Amino acid sequence: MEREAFLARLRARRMEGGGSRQAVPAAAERNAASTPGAAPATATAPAPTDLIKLFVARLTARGATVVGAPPRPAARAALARRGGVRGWLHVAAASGLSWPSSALHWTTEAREAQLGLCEADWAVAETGAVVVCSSVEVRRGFSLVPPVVAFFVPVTRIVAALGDVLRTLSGDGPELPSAVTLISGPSGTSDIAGTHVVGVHGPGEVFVWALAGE
Amino acid sequence: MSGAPRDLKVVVDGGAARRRAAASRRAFDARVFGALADPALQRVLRDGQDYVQALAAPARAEPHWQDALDEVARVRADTLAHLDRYVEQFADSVERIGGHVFFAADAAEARGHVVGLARERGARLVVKSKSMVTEEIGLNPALEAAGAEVVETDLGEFIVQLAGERPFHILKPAIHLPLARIRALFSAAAGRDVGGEAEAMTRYARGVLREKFLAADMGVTGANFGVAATGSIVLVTNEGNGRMTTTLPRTHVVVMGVERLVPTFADLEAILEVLPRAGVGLRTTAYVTAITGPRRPGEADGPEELHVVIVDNGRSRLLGGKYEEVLSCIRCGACLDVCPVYRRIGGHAYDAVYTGPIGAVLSPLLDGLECHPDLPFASSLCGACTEVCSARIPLAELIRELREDIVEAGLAPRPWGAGLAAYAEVTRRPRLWRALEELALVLLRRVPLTDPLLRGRGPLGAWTATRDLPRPRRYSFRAAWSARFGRGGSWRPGGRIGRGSRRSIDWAKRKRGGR
Repeated sequence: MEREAFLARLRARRMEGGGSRQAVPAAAERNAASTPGAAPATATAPAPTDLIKLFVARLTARGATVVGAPPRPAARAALARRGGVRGWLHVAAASGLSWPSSALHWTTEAREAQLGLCEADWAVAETGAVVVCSSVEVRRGFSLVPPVVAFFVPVTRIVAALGDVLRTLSGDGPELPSAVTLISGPSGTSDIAGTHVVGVHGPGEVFVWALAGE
Repeated sequence: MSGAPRDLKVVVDGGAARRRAAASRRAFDARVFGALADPALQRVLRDGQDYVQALAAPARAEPHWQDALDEVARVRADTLAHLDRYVEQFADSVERIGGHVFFAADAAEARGHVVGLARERGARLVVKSKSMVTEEIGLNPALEAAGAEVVETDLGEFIVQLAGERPFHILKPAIHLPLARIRALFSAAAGRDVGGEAEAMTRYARGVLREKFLAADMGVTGANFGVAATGSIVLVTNEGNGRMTTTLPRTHVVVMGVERLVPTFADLEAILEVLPRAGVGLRTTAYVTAITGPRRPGEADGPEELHVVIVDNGRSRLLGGKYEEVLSCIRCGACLDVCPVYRRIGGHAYDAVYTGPIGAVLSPLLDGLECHPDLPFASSLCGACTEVCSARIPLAELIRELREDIVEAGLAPRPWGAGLAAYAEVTRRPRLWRALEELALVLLRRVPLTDPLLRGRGPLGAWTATRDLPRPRRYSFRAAWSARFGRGGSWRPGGRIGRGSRRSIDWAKRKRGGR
């Protein structure tokens, strides 16, 4: 159907229906007053300790392994150590995120990696979610294709609620990343006879290092 | 609320519609009795509802829960009140970021367009992530007829696809199938025994489907929501198959109902809080993904092409009418998980894409009244669905409204209509009423409860097969009323059943006191 005819039909139905429902202010006008693209208020100030605690608790409850607030060098060392034990030989990550390491081989091919590593753009305490935006550097597959995925989350990027992130996703399309993904723990399903199984199509294990002082 | 015929879809020829309705009704009865006679299914239904109820209870008890539902309802009402504007804005946004939009007036147009996209691209393998609207438009058979292999990648959908069935529940498509049956299905597909544990079976499915994701030419998803301001598609998933479908294949096709928009991302706040908690009792799902356009220049993954198919298929007919609110639905499944009728008959008895209380309203409205004349009657009108609805849709009210329309359209069973007409006649003649009442009392008192009369025959049998007639009291209600309130305590003219009867009792008391 032609676009105009399709829209005209919607319009006509609305008009015919007329006063069956009270007019509601259009959200577009309602939201015009708010500043699009403004960062959440809590984003730049260091996250209060209880916000970090809530984030760690909620994400842990979702089945992720969360290590609270080590500085970045300590987190890197911990990841490399664990990688040695677990056999994470190939790690898929954006080139800007990698560091020279004798234990890990860096790759951008998620299909060949045993581990995907991403730096979270935001994290949401209330839902225990890390937020990853895709870009030329950060492929969608990094946090999806390998069997295990790890995230570095600077504690200053932890916001209280989902709405704090949603409100930053405004403006016109091109300013938004092609994919924004909120990740709360490993993938899972209860589709076989209601039994919960962790690890379906997405990673079955999620590690999160909340980075202090960043 | 005046009935506007434009709300409703019925075939024009009354006789054909009546025959169709009668056939649908017989088939429905057979499916219902089949489900009731299946003890394993009864157990699954009972346990399933009890489990979700227990999970969802804490959220429903939270003090701000009702406010969150109000907010969801407000956002959905706003969207519907200005739907033409939001659709236009959404389409413009999608095109600005390099996506393509197709407007489908009905299922055939939507199917045809997606099949055309697959053909033009020579797509041989299509992976799909769970989508009710693609069920609604019958996409899979159409793609298969065009020579493509279509693979459902949501584990539950994958199972029902192997079983050749339709989804049982909006959120849990394969919840009705026992472990042994799934093992048999998987083992037959694998050519070996995949094992009897859910973990082993999931591992098997993961392996098979991973290959499919990597080889697929096209990915098809629905949309939990579309954001008008940015042209984004929001997918709420747990398994990661939605992300795979939107990451690996070259072409991503989104099929979405025209009503599934929200104005801005900010408007999703309450919806994304309510949806997982109402549906499965969890604070969030594993993944919430917002896709805005195809991959950008320089990006290494994500689809090169994004096509959005906006489907009307009867939805615009509901706009501005008495059934409009049904379009507010966010597909959380909460109404299915509280419905006492769904608890006994299950999803397949509805023989519709949308089942449970929401399906009892939506399916007749989208498919045609004569296709599902029984669904609005598959309700006790207890109102549990209305009470839990995440978008505050007055489901029980709409179900009752549809019953009226089905009777008006002449699609109700004839003996039943004749019975009601006779009843209406009698209620207009107080003397006749009283005489019949007295006669019934006398007769019923003389009949022992085991008498075949109480079992009923013919059309009466359908009622008395599952219910005994109660032994009558010694006197009629009217006699009791007169004894308590005096003879003047007659029915208040114009009073309504429900609140009205309460008022008339008060009125009768006052009247007696004044005398």
